[in-house]
Amino acid sequence: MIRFLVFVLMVLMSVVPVSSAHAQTANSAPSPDHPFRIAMILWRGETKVEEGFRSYFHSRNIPVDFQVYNIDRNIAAIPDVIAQIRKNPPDLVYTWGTGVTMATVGRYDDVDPVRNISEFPVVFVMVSAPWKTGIAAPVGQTRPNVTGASHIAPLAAQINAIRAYRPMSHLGVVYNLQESNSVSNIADLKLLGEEMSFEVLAAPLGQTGEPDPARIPQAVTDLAKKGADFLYIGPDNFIGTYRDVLTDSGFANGLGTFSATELEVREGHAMFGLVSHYDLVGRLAASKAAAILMDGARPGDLPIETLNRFSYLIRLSAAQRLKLYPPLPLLDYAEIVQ
Amino acid sequence: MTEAHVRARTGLLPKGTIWVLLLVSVIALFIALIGISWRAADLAREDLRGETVKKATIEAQVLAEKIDRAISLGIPLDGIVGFGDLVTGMQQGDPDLLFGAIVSAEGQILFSGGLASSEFSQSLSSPSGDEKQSRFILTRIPLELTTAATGDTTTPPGLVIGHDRAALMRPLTDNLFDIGIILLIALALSFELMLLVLTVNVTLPVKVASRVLANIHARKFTLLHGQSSRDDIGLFMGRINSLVTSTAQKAGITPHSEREVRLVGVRLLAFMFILAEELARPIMPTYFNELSAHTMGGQLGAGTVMAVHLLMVAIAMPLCSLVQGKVGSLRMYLIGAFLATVGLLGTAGAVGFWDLIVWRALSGLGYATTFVACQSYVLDATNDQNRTQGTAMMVSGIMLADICGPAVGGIIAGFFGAEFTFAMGAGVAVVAVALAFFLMDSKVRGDKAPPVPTRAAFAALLKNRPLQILVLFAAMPAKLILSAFLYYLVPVLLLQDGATIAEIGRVIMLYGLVALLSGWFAARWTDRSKKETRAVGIGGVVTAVGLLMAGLYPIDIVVAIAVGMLGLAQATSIPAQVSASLKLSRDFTDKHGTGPVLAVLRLAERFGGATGPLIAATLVHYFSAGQAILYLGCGAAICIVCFEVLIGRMPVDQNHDTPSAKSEAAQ
Repeated sequence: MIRFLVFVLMVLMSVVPVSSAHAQTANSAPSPDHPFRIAMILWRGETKVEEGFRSYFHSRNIPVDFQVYNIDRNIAAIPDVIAQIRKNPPDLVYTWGTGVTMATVGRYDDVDPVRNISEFPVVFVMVSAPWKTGIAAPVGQTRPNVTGASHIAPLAAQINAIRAYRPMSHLGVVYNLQESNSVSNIADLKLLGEEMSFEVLAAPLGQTGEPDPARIPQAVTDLAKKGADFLYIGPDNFIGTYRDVLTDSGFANGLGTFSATELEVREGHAMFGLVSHYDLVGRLAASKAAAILMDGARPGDLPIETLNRFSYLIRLSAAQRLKLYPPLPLLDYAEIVQ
Repeated sequence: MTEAHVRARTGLLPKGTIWVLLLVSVIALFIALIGISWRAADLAREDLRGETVKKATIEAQVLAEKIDRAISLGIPLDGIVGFGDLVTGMQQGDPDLLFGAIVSAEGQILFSGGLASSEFSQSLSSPSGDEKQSRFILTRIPLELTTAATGDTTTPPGLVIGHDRAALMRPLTDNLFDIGIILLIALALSFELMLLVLTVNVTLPVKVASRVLANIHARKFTLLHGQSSRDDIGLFMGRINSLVTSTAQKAGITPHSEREVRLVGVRLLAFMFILAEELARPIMPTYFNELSAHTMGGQLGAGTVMAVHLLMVAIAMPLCSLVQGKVGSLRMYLIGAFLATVGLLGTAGAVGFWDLIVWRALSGLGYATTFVACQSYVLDATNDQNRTQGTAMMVSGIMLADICGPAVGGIIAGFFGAEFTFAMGAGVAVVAVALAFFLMDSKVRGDKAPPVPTRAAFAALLKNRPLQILVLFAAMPAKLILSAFLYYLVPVLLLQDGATIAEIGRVIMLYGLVALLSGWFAARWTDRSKKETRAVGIGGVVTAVGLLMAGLYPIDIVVAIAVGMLGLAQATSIPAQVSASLKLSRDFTDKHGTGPVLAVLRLAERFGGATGPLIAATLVHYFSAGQAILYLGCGAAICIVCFEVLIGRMPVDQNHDTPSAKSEAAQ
């Protein structure tokens, strides 16, 4: 009972500062001497998303002071980062990716005011499945201090994009069992497979703890033997980190790789993808941050959303290597990456 | 005149020199027109071929640019994928494009799309002189490829696309139906005008002249020819009148002027006011839908607007009948045509749902007023002997407008838009106002109002179970289905299926056409067999079968057949309903006459008609148009089963004579 009362008290204490700080930021106009303060917690340094996020404020002459906390793929560093943020309180916290966001704000129904940030407004980016992972509250409930921008195209659109390239009945996926967003994405893919008549050939890694990248080539070879038409990269930080291992294994087995995220095509060797431009995702998130900071909007009142237009990217070098050339109609609207 | 003479003159083929000359000139004209048309079509083909080649060259260049881009990106020619999809995509914009192919210098087809290569390979290899005999118009352009792409330094491949040669005549064939409809309308209008001119200038003066001459022959000298005409008949009868006047003076008699009422005018007037309304029939649901989209969510709004119009007609008709005696036919018609003009003009310029409701209500009021004016004119201008003839004259004008209106309105709407079509209807109503002054005989006051539904008639209805069954399960559903299916669901469904407004108009026209052609046979069968309730049942079954067919297979041809079946069903059922209602209420009609019963029947029918668009719109709001027709068909089937089951148990005297249904049908 005492633990419960303490919990309630702490929740109340954490909510009051959000409201008061919020009111304060909304009413006080920023100036070069007193800019807005945004704390950015990043997974692996700055990307095009942050570039878009910063340029949104810059183009509107909104002075912002960014405090960047790069955890460099070490999720265990989050508690220290949160402690540093609390010592130097910002007006808003920005988080990158599902892992970072989950560790920073917790599940909507399991918030620990000590371990998680609940006293500052939080805007996340690059969370592929905010509702599935519990970062966002279900429909009908609100999460007062969290909003954000997602970046993944609807799965059905992704499958149609693959089939616009070539017929596909078997989709090979190597993924990390330790990442909830990846697991949830595979479950959704399998469900969609029943509806759209394709089979997901899954090769999970990390059954016994941290996955081993050395196992990726064998997993891809197995998928090729099972008859996969393409490899699929979904929202998966581990596979994103070792994307070249995956795509090279694909080349060795005559398999092209489709990606749901931009970097795997633009900076890696995935053959094609239906993606959101990272820059635009950053701008979308920035528009929400600006609404909170400038207009005094409650984060919980701002919808968590994704872009409504996506880009079809084709890496021609990968297509040429596999002699899987893009169909002529795709050349009308796809962005070709040489 | 001998019997042989009569036989000779009533033979199948006309005889005499004039007929031979007519035949020869018609045949000569026919041959000349065929020759001119053939030559004109040939010249048109050449012109259109040039246009097709221009279009084909642009399309071929677009295809070639796409291939060039692929090659420039480093995709080898033999690695090209999706050429067929590209051609298929292009076919959506140009249905005359039949195939596209990339052909090597040796004539080998490397890639193709649209048709299987076996279907056109023969045409590609034939000499260029034979191309006119081919079913394709071929357009060839070379592909300017780098040698690295082809691996060949001497012979770059070419791109060939083939268009349908038959498409050259498509502008003509596409408009063939429109041309036919316009020809039909021109014939109908010519017939109407000829009938009017002949009746007014020849038939009626001759009829009166023969009566005057017979009077002179009988040495009475009491009649003068009063049918004024300025032609030879008029001059001749003028002299006869002088002779009669002088002779009568000598005999101490005062002759009076004799003339016939120009009843034929009401035919053209009925045609005009129905035409004014029917022109816009094919576009009403869509146009009303657009205007009410922001107020009542489109479909429901359109249904409400149409229902308000029909409801206004139902309410206004008995009210107009009450004041008809005081106003007179001519003034009544002028008021009605004026109201219709304002209503149709307002509809053309309507900006939203609420003002549209007002304009359509006004149109309904105008429609009802002109209808009552024509009815009372016929009643006043005829007697018991020729009333059937007079009514038939008015009905035939209405039916002609039912046939011509939607068809010609569809063409007008297709070319000039919905607003113009309503404005055109208003224009027709204005012409009707002007014509009414000439066509309505000043001799006819028109103070015999059409019967109104009396309280006694309602009371009789409430006591009469068989009549209730007839009204509830046959009369009301018949009009409900007519307005729900023909006026609402058919245009909506056909438009969704990609039909043009002109095509929708032609399909709606089928209703009137089939009703006109089959009406006489159906009425004859009903009169002879004296099985009115059976005829009502048959009409109901035909309606239900047609609707169920169209609901299960909602494609254009089935819908057109269902519309034709509805025409047949209504032609069978509606006159039979009139006869059956009089037969079923014999006790009442013996005392009070047939008018009140028929007025109650008409009122019930019109209320049924008013609910039709509302029901159709509600069904379309929740289901597809095809499903809505299916549900309507189920409703029709249930109604007719109830009618047959319930009426079968009622004692109906099948041998009792009833007044002719035909004469009462228009009341």
